[in-house]
Amino acid sequence: MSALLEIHDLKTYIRQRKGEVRAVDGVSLYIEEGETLGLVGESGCGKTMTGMSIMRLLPPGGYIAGGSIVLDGKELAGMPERDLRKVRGNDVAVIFQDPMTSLNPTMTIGKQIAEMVRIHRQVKQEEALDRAAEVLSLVGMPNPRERLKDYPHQLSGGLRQRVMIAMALSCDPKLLIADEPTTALDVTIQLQILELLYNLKQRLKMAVLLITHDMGVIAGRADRVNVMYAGKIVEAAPTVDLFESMHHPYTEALLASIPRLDQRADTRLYSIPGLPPDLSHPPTWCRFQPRCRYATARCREEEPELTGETPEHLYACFNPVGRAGARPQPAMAQ
Amino acid sequence: MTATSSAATSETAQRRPAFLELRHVVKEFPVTAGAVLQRRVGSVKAVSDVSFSIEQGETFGLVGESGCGKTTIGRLIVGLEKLTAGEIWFEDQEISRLRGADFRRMRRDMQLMFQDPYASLDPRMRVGGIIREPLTIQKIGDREEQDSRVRQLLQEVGLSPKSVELYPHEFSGGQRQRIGLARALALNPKLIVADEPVSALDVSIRSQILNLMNSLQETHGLTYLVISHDLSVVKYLSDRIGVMYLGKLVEISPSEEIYERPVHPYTLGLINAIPEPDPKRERSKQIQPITGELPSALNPPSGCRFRTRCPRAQDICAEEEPPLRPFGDRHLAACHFPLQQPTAA
Repeated sequence: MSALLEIHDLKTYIRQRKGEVRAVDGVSLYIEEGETLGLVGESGCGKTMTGMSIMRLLPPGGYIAGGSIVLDGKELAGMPERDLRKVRGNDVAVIFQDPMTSLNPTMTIGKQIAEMVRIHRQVKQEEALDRAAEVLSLVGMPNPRERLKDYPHQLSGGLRQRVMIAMALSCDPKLLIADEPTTALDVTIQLQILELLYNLKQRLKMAVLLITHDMGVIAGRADRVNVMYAGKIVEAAPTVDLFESMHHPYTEALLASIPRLDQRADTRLYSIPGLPPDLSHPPTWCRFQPRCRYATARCREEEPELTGETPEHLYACFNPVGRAGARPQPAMAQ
Repeated sequence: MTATSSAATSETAQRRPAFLELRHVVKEFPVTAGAVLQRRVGSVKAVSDVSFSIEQGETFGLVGESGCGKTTIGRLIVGLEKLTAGEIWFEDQEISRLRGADFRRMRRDMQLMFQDPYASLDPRMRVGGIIREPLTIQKIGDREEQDSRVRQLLQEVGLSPKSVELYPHEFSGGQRQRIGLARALALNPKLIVADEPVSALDVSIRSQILNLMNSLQETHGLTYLVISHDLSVVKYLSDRIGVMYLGKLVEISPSEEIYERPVHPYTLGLINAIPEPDPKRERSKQIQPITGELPSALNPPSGCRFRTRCPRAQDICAEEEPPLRPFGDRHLAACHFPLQQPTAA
């Protein structure tokens, strides 16, 4: 059986005045039905652009320069805009980081959800509003019927995000793209929303692409993880496997630089030196090499491919962590 | 309330104040209605009777969610807001009513580090000018001395001396935060109030800045007040931590202990809500999430302000406001049904 979503060698570039930024530069990934795939990385690594390429909601100048995106047997990469509109919302839905800017402030939330339902299904306004109340109660909104008449500004950040999720679920998508769904929320509300997403996913048998910068969110919620750096996937593994035996030095460095509640007060955090490369002129060798403590001469000569001993755990590195030969190089050791 | 607080004030006034000490600090913001005639219809108590002190060389962390009043406290200390009531002592001086030259002299010793390195640096000034500005305002040194001081500061925060000629937009977020630190250090301050110093930064850059803050503290003997919503960041930097909820300090404790032995149910809820980068632990967590939403600060709940979301709340929590009680060495919490046994007074 093939996966629900298969992305192969996706290249999404953004044309800018100064040149072209290769935001996504040859990404391949898949998501099985009902699975949560975590896509993790820092700002500018291309994780959001990968998600938005699926929906083709790209910023000005953004275009898909190559590769394929197959969702449920349909190729989306070359699909005309008209047909793509039927896919958006119906097969794939998305929730964004900031619920206030993604809701229409002049419309009641009931009308906004109903509008979405009526675009995709031939139903009357009353039926659409019924559906809106139904999905609102599904996302745990108290008194969903009365809430239909509320405007977004009358709701708190957490409730707004519930409305966004309700809207995304209103047409039973097979895949939900959650782009930093809790980053703008307080931690106690974040926990509520993450629990909600998890329960909904189980009940509705929906697949989720969880895009986040937060390794903690990934640890608790993703079945598998893809780590992105500078437009490429550098490591892909089942979640527990990734945290226990990561192979890519970037994954290792990323985890070592997070302050943890259970660590002793006198432990010093690892800090990755330098900055990510400029993606308008990416190097032709390993993109993490200038910041990597294991880097050898070979890393400046060729680009490592994403491979591995097993198809489940892939990494793009010549000197993988925990393998013979991978030693911190004196020049880079901290 | 006035009777008890003035009694407490006269009692604390007897002893010498700590390096930085807040005594019963209250800050209310007026709430107005009407577009033209701004009638005052009420007030929001952003900070409600908060007292704590910081020793010299210590790092004190203030943690809490949006709207808890942590940022207002930072702004009150550096004089960006005026107190409604209470006292702030800094180096044996009550500073909240200082004006003019006295205020400016005191402010040399106290600098701010901001959250957003994009908004806090003037985009039309070169980096050299940005770092020199505090020296010019306080009239310290001639041009040449200032130049060498700027170069020295840049080196200390790990930036190249060539940076003086560049503009803020030519730097990344982490580098801008370094520029902000250099500017804060220019006057050799004793206290730095850092409001969300790393929240706008990526993980890999964040640890660079956290480590830099730690090493600068050692070399300069700095005292930090670190304000953040992120308990892991606060715990990494701080010796002691204060937890705030809706304008109140609900728990204050040495930072190791707050994680190992939290007393207030809100502190525990906050700790449990933080997703940790450890899949097995995350998946086996058996926790009761804090339910509901933050109540309005305009009309806070009676008694204990956390009671509307608290799993342990009972009738008394609505009737009586719990006072801060001791729960061990330098460990205080305000709860009627604490998670640990209080120590006898």
